[in-house]
Formats: sequence, C-alpha cells, structure tokens
Amino acid sequence: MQLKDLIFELCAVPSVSGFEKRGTQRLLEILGDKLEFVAVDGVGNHIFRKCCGRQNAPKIMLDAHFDEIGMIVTDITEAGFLRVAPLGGIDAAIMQAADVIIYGKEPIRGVVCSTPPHLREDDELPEITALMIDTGLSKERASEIISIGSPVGFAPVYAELLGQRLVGKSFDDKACAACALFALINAPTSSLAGDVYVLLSCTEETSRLGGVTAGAFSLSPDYAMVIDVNLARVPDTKSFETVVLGKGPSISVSAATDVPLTRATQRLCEKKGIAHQMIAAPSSTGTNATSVNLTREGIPVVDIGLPLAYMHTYNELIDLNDCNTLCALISEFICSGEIAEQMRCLEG
Amino acid sequence: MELYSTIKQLCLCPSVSGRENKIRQLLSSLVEPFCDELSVDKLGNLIALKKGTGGGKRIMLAAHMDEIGFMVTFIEDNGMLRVAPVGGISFVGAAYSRVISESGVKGTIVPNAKTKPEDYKSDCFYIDIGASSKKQADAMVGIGDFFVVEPHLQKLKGGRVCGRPLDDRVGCAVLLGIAENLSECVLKDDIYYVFTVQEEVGCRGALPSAFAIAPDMALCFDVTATGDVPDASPMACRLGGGAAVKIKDASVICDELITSRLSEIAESKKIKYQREVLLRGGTDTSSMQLSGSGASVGALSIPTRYIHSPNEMCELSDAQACIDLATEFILSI
Repeated sequence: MQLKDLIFELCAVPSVSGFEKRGTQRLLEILGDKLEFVAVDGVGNHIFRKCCGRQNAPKIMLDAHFDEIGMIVTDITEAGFLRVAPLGGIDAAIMQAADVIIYGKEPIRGVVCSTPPHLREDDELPEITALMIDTGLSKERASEIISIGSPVGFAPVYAELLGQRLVGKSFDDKACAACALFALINAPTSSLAGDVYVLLSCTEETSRLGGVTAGAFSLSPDYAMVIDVNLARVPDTKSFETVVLGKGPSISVSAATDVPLTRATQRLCEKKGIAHQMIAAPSSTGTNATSVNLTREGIPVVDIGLPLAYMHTYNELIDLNDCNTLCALISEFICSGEIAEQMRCLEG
Repeated sequence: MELYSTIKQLCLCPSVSGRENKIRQLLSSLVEPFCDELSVDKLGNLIALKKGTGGGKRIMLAAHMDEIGFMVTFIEDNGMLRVAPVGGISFVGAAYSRVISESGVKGTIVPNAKTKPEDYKSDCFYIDIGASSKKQADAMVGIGDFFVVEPHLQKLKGGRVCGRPLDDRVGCAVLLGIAENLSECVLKDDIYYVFTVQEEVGCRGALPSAFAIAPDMALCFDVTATGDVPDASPMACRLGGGAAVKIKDASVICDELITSRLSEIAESKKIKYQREVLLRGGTDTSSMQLSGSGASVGALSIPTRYIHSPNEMCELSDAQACIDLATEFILSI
C-alpha cells in the first residue's frame, strides 16, 4: 500500500468529533491485518500496536487525533430542512452551498442552503446554528433516516494537484495518523526501540485535549510523540506564526513539551539528514502534546507538525513530500535506541 | 418513594457548592435503605454502592447535590453585605429575592438604584439583612458565609412543579428513584449511586469520584434547557416530552452506543423520551468521561425552564420517565 492511498482511505473514514466509534469497522478493514488492534476504549480512542518482543522494553506512544470537525443535527424543521450546531471550529466563511453527508441510519448527501446573490440583502455570514441543510427529503422521510444528534461531515472528495500536493477534507489530523501508522507498519519488529503504540485519539476538535488524556493515562507510555497539523504559510499570513509547505515536518519548542526529548529528536533529524523546521510554541502547542505532558506524573512528549494550508476547510492542502519526510522521522524515532536509552536514564 | 414530596424535601435543604453537608446528611438517610455500602470521599461526594454478585461491570450513576448561591465578601459600615456569586447566578432573576444564610439569617438581595438591569453584575448588589450597623451585622454573619435565594417548591395545575433549586435536586430524586427500583433486584454489576459536590463551580466533584470508582459506564442525571418558551433559542426539547437522552452539551459528546441503547429501550418499553442537543452549559457527564482512563458515558436530563432563576420549572412525568428509562437500561445490561 502506498502512503498516499492510506491517507485518502483514512481521511474518508467517517469520524466526526465525538462519533469516532462509527469508524471502528472501517479502520479494522484497513489496518486489521497490518497491526495488532489493542482496543477501542469507552471514550472513543482507537489503539494499535507493534511490540518489539523484548522483555522490559520501553513503551513508546505515537498520538494523532482521529476525529474531524463537523456538525450535529439539532432539529428537523416542518419543511424537512435540518438545523445544525458545529462540532469543532467550523469556519462560517466556507459553509454556503457546501457538500455534506449526514450520517443517519445510512449516510445521505445534503447541501448547505445558501441565498443567491440576486436575493441577498447584506453580505453578513450567518452563524453555523443559523444554517439549514437541504437533503431533498420531507420531514417524514428525513426523520426515518436522520435523528436529532446525527453527525454531519463534509463530503470526502480528494484530488492530487501538480507538484505532489494533495487536497481534501480532514487531513487534520488523519494525514498524520496515516503517516504514524504507515511508519509503524513498515518498521521491522527487530528494529523497534520498544513496544510502539499508535493512539488514534478522539474529540481533539471539540473537548480539545480531552480524549488523549484518557488514552495516555491507560497506556502510560515512557515517552510519546504527538503529531498534528501545523498552519502552513499562505499569502497574508505572518511568517513567524507559520511553517513552510514542502520543507518537512515541524518540531515545536515549548514549555508544554519535554526539552530533552525535543532536542534528541532534533539531533536525530540532523544526524539522519531528515528535513525539518523548528517552531516556537512558547506556553502551549495548541495540540494534544500540552495534555499528554500533564497526564499522570508527567509523560515526556515531543510535538511534531505536518504543514497544512486552508485548515478546517473541506479543501485542506498538504505536500506529499512532507508526509514522506514525516514517515521517515517517525521511523527513526521509534527505532532510535539512543533516544530510548536517554529517556530510561532520565527516569532512573 | 413519592416523587414530588422527595423533590420538595431535597429542595428545601440549602447547600451551596463547597458546603454540601446538610444535603449530604439528608441524602445519606434517604439512599441508605437501597444500598450495601455508604461512604464519603475527601471532597465530600456521597457514594452509595449496591454490590453485584460478581463478574459484572462497574456502573456509576451521578447527580450533583450542590446548588448555586452567594458568598459574603465584605460588610459595609451601614450593615449591608457585599457578595460574590458561587456558580452561574442570574442577577436579573435574583434581584429583590428573599435570601437565607446557612445559619438561617434572612434578608433580601437588592441591586443599587443607579444600575440598569442589563448591566447587573455582582458588584451592583448587596444583601440587606435588616442590620442597622456593621456591628449588628457582624454578630449575625461573617466573611465567607453562604446565602441562597430562599428555597421553595409548589405544584402547578397539570403536573408541573415550580421553585428552586430543581437544578439538580430533581436529578438527586431521580437517582433515589432508580436506587429504590433496583434495591430488590439481583444484578451481577456493581452500581454506584454518587451524589457529587461542586458541579456548579466547574463539574469538580465528579472527577475524583469517577477516578476512584473507574466505572466502565457512567450516566449523569441533571436538568437541561428547553426551546418551548417565547423567543427561546431553537432547541428541540420541551417540558412533557419525556426523558431527554443527551447526545451532546457544551462539555461532552455522549457515547453513541449508550445513546442509541437508551433510545431503543425507551421505544420498546414505551417510555416517553426525546433527544437532547444542548448548545450551552456543561454537566458532570464530561468529568466522568475523562477521569482516569475514561469511561463510556451518557446522560438522562430532566427538561427544565428558567434554570438558575428563583423559579425553575419542570414536569414530574419527565422525571418519572428518567427513573423508568434508567432502571430498564440497567436491567438490560
């Protein structure tokens, strides 16, 4: 399986924030014969692993959140339109006429209602809770398939642009999940520096750092890498707040992550010639890393980012070269005896 | 157990967040006949355990026993008390209400004359206990004393009740009703009935209690808002619509395995229910979900109008539906 195919397949698995368990079956179809499935826990975290086979080996956790932004049905009007509320940071600017899928008893297509420019009285964007979704169904027929609480996601449409760029929905953060899984699948058991767990954590987009706490608490790893997307530079963004597409994954330097582990990862990249970008995230990374760092008595964590443009839209854009580099970085990280030894000495 | 009289008995026992001792004593005596073990943890959560026969799950059912109120912060020379809110007080609703302190001192809470209602916040308010000087007030209250809007409850025509604090004494009454229903049943699961502290100040009490219990599954019982009054924000939840199966609130998205199971059972047992998506406000559900290694969670809510005002309103049949549905749910596990 090619990395690109795994990215597209994982990103198309329905997993609107809070409804990750709807993706369990499909996840197992994709990964079941490639990695050991440990569990889907009560919160909605999915956990896969590959063990190195040695006694007393360190436990290494790779976290990538598996939920995606979306909406939830709050009412079905008399005319059959659906009212919704946001799950995660939905941008009102992209919602007019968007293609969506309502995950009721079966998935059905819908379109967000929009006012034609001819009839528009002002240019103010309606809030998400003021939007309606048209499924083409009457209230009676809609109610047979959809109920209050049904999740709604963007339609999975993927494309390859020229120059190794990919566009589509929920690369945040399933492209990173794909890279972590791909790296682990392809790492020979004998080369692993420890037992490696991939935590596909839930509800990052809604309760922000919630689901990872429960997952990291139960796994209790010796050290961890959190992998999430990072804002890529586009026209009109500030250079010091963004990373550059095509220049490799970012490594965060932050008070909310482990300094020795971060520096060791940076040295590893330099030694192995892996392209990377350093980024300062002073007091918080804005990712699960902040939370993992404070789980139990503290779990050492390094925060890695994949550059991504147009975040939280249905046309997020990433660079496949960055994904390949990220895979290489993760492979070296989970196979690094040096890092394993360093983390063990720090604990002792 | 007669539902209305139990709710009323619980409402009439003032216990602000952080000072839950009175309501805890009352609840201890009421739940004691229905459980095997009773304990109080370090934060003050009351935990009643009905032991299973073994080999089952650990199930936590929780309702918070604290309520919103006021804390005395300063006593003016003229004997007026300055206060800070404990929890989400609606000051527009509280203006000119009768209040009572934890030691029984009565008074009224009054906004100053120059502030318009839309600008009301805690520093515009004072409590007048009738004292004519600081010295006289000092003899009756101290800094840090708690006040509440006087509790009361009455039946309206047609099965609805009005008063305070239905949030969340009605949930506590639902929990007692479930405990009574299950008390004679032989179950393999351990059932923990937990009456939590400090929900109103940030869903705090449920965190350590869920950590200690480490439940496989947890259900929360609390009030929820409705969309059935004039000019309400759109919300498909109404008084008399039955038990509200929570899908989401601002703090949590419930486990779909639990929400769909609750809906199925309600339909097969002909228990009136509705599905709830609450856009504002959180509950202990989230604390139980994310404590320790996490738990599979759901919630049954009692639709309630005018939450956090001196006159909250709910319908007894909805509370009864919550008791019936939760009982059937536990029996079906």
